[in-house]
Amino acid sequence: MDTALRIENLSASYDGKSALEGVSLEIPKNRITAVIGPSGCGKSTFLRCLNRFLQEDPGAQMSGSVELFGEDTAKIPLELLRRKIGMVFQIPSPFPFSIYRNMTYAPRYYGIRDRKKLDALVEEKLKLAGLYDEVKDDLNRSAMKLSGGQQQRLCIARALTVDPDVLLLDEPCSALDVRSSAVIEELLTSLKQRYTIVIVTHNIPQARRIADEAVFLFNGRLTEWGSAEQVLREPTQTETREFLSGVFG
Amino acid sequence: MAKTANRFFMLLIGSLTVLAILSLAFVIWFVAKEALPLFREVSPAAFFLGTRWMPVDFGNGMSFGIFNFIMGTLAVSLTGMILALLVGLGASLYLSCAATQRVRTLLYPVIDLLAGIPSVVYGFVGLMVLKPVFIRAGVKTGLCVLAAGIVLAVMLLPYLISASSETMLKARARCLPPAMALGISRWDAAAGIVLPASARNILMSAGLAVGRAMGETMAVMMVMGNANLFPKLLGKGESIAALIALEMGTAVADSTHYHALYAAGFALMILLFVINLGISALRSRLLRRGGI
Ligand SMILES: Nc1ncnc2c1ncn2[C@@H]1O[C@H](COP(=O)(O)OP(=O)(O)OP(=O)(O)O)[C@@H](O)[C@H]1O
Ligand SMILES: [Mg+2]
Repeated sequence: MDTALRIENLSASYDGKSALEGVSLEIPKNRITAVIGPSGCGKSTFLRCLNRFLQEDPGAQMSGSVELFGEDTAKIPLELLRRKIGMVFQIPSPFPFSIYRNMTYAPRYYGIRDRKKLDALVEEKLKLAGLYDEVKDDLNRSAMKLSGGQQQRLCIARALTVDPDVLLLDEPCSALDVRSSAVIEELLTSLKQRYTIVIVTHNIPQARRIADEAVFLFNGRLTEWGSAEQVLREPTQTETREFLSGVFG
Repeated sequence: MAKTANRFFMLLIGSLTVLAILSLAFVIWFVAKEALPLFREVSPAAFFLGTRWMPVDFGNGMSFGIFNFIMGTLAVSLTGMILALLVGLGASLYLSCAATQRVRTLLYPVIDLLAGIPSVVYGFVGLMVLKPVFIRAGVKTGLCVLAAGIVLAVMLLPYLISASSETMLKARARCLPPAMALGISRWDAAAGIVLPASARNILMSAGLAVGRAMGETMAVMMVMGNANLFPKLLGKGESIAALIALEMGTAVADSTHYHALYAAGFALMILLFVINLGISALRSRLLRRGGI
């Protein structure tokens, strides 16, 4: 099994306050890896290290190394790194433009001007995100008029427009109802054939349904990682067991 | 109990609203009533399109043409708005997308302070600072439309910056992270996403600012030169507000002059109304294209 991301001794801090310490693990290609752990344990911080999003925060520091398919991410130009590792946020955040412009903003930024190419790209990615049939009649409709679940799928489709290898999702369903969450779970499962997916989730049943691999963080440290079967159903560490049985939030 | 309180509250709100509308209607009615008698003596065409303003007969007869004043009002407001928007949008983009929270907390009180300075002070500072500059630049008296536009822009800035940086801050919180996660640079995202995403709200504050610009009297009067001329950037001009402020005190009550000044005020209201209508049409077009 290929490794998409190899993380070595990763630490992060905000204003000198440590948030992540000495995390080393591997994220396999074409799998869904779920990152779980109690609130404030550093899940979002971990995710933000992977695409170097942390450095947009002036007070934040990170150390250690992250390799993307064997290449040190610190040596990859930031723009390229962000294209290779896409990110979807907790709150659905489409740009307040039309669906079409949401989908074409980044491709146009990277130089695709040809209208036919753009149209094809929009259709392809919206189909991948399972949104195409719902919006194809009016791609010029404002993205803000979509439902929350549709907006989140649009954000996933938008992240796919720059052809990433890895997709990072930070609690993508926590602002959505059960039905919309189910649609997104199904979507992620179908996307793993083409993409490597890392998802932070608070929802243990959701992690059990979709994850192949699981990572358990506790107080900024890696407690346990491995196949989802093992980590989520037969954890070896006490913290994991207590977390899964609902001892802490 | 709660129901009665609720009904009472609704009634209170309702009557206050009616009161507000009534007082506005009264002002319009009053100005119109005082303006109308003018048109028994002067034709609307001569009033709106005439360029000779001679409210007292010195032997050549009286005339009441406010065309140059309308143009003066438009010219100075437009100059002021363009300058204020250029600088204001740049400043708001910086404040919302580039400045750190510390810089913001430092600058906002200063901006609010600027908004509270009375307009005479702005006019006075404009007179002291701009007049010598324009004299050196070759404008004879140093008083001109551009100078007034600059003073006006400085006055509009605090309001425009605080209103538009507030909407931009919201748009930035929402749009900047996903844009940067796509590898788009901060400045491209600021100009290409945050700015257009805030356009509708910026237009709304611009609409309010236009009202302030066109009605602003004191500061404009002090630096625009106040001559009945067709406005040129480096020439003198006079705004309707200045005309009214300068002459209302000396106009004999119920004279043609008096009615003409009211009619000029009425013209200013209509002008504002038309401009705001245009702005809201623009806004609703933007809304259909999808804004926040
Ligand atoms: N921008 C920031 N500035 C300062 N401290 C931060 C910042 N973001 C996170 N932290 C701190 O770092 C620690 C880890 O935060 P992080 O957001 O990674 O946790 P999390 O596991 O994602 O929590 P949650 O499940 O609540 O989203 C927390 O103690 C938090 O207070
Ligand atoms: Mg988080």
